[in-house]
Amino acid sequence: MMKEQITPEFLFLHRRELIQKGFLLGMASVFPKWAFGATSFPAKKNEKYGLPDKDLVLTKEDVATSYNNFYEFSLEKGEVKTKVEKWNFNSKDWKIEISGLVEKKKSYSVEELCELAGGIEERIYRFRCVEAWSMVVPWTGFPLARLIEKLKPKSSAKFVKFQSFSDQKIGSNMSELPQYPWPYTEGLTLAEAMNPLTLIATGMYGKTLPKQNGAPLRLVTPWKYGFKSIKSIVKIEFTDVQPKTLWSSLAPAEYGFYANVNPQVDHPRWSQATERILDSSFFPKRKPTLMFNGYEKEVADLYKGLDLAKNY
Amino acid sequence: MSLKIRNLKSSLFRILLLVPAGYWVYLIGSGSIGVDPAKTLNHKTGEIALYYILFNLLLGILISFSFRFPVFLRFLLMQRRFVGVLSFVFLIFHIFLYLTMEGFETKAWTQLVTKTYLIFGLGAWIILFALAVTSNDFSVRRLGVKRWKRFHRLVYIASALFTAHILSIEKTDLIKYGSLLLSLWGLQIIRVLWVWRKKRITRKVINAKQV
Ligand code: HEM
Repeated sequence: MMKEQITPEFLFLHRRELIQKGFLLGMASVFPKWAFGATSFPAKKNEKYGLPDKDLVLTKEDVATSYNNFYEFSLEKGEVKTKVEKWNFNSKDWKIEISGLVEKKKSYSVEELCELAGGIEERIYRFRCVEAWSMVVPWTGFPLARLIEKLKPKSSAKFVKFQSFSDQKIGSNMSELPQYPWPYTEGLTLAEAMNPLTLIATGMYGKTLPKQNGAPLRLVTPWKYGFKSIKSIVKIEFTDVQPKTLWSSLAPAEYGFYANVNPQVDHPRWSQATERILDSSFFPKRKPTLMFNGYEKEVADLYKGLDLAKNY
Repeated sequence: MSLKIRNLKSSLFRILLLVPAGYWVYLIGSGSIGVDPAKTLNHKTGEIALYYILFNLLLGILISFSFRFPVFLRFLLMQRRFVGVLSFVFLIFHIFLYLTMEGFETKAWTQLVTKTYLIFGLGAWIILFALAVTSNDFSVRRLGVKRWKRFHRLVYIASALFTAHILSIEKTDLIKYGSLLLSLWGLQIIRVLWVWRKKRITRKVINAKQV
């Protein structure tokens, strides 16, 4: 036997790894990129969630990124954009803790969560704020359901609780609002969280999320009022009791746990029957508000038998 | 000469009061009023109108305490009607912008009489309207100083109503408005007690003299 025919030692030692790499390379040429969880921007458009209505137009990017309800920074929606400038933010350092009634309890980076969920995609959703204004926003992110499947919640898990950062060094306005039960918390039933519409967004308008819109990742539940779509998440917890949420703790008569968009149920201080589609003008276009913000087909089943006037 | 200086100071003061409105016009003109102009300006007009009313009420309180205004500030005592009317002009815009915000739809009008905080606001507004249209020499002459003064005490009912209007807005700056309005009512209570005490003392003095 010639010497060269003997497997060189370094190849022998690394054979397993080489086989694995070769396999992955082979797969990569067979499957499209998203199968491996493309996490770069701009992400592929999901055509199923294009413009929700031909009468609607996409809200301009500078409108959607300069009018933000983010009380951790300011009560003034137009001011948040400048207030976040001081936030020394680095997406790479951000950790999201997965906890509670779930098998894969761990701290993940944003990248890890995106990969675990199988990559990100772009979807256009209506966005209806409880204050009776609305926008149409192209989000980039992954359906929460795909992540939850990977995290393997226990059978006793019935709700998902989300928590935003509690660092007062980041949220410079938090100490100005001592009556608020910080940190910002939100919750969904597990069924709501598993609905294909429920998105964890890491970007908008084909770019990573700006700080004022909830960097590095936020929830988007388009059939609910905007305040449910919690920003800058640091913790996702699976529970068996309905989680307390910031707004329903602070003003239970005004903001409920469900917060489904519903033109028939007034806010105590204003009607929800119509909305103004913000575009910076004094007289923006208006339209009737739709039940579940126009997502009735997708979500109405979740609330069968529930009195939506009581469970607002 | 002193009259000239007083006029100059009054004019400067009045111009100062118009600075916020000028700034809003600048914001609109330069396109930096933001994404939801009607709502933004509804808030700003309400806020500045409140400050101006509070200014007037504070002067009233100081007068009750027989506060000796330094000479260079005495011109302020002549500005109360102007401040009051200007504040009402802002409140006209405040309502108009509210209606704009609601697209002048039917609901904009029905809400005015069905939503508690707007009922409070409207009540205050109607009273302040009556006060604003009678804030001129003609009305003072027609009503007579005494009756005019009594009529303008309605401002305290208006104050109670706008206090309720503002503090029932959950999503507002409770610390800012809460502390301002609490100070206002605290001072008013002290003032009422003070005036009572003064009256009792004068009555005692009068009684003693009669004996
Ligand atoms: C019919 C009369 C009135 C209407 C329709 C009205 C309407 C409104 C509306 C819609 C808001 C915003 C509420 C929100 O953001 O949820 C507001 C806030 C406010 N209003 Fe009025 N209002 C009226 C009378 C008054 C009066 C008489 C005052 C007296 C000063 C006043 C002072 C304020 C203030 C200070 C705010 C808070 C602004 C802020 O958030 O910074 N309003 N009003």
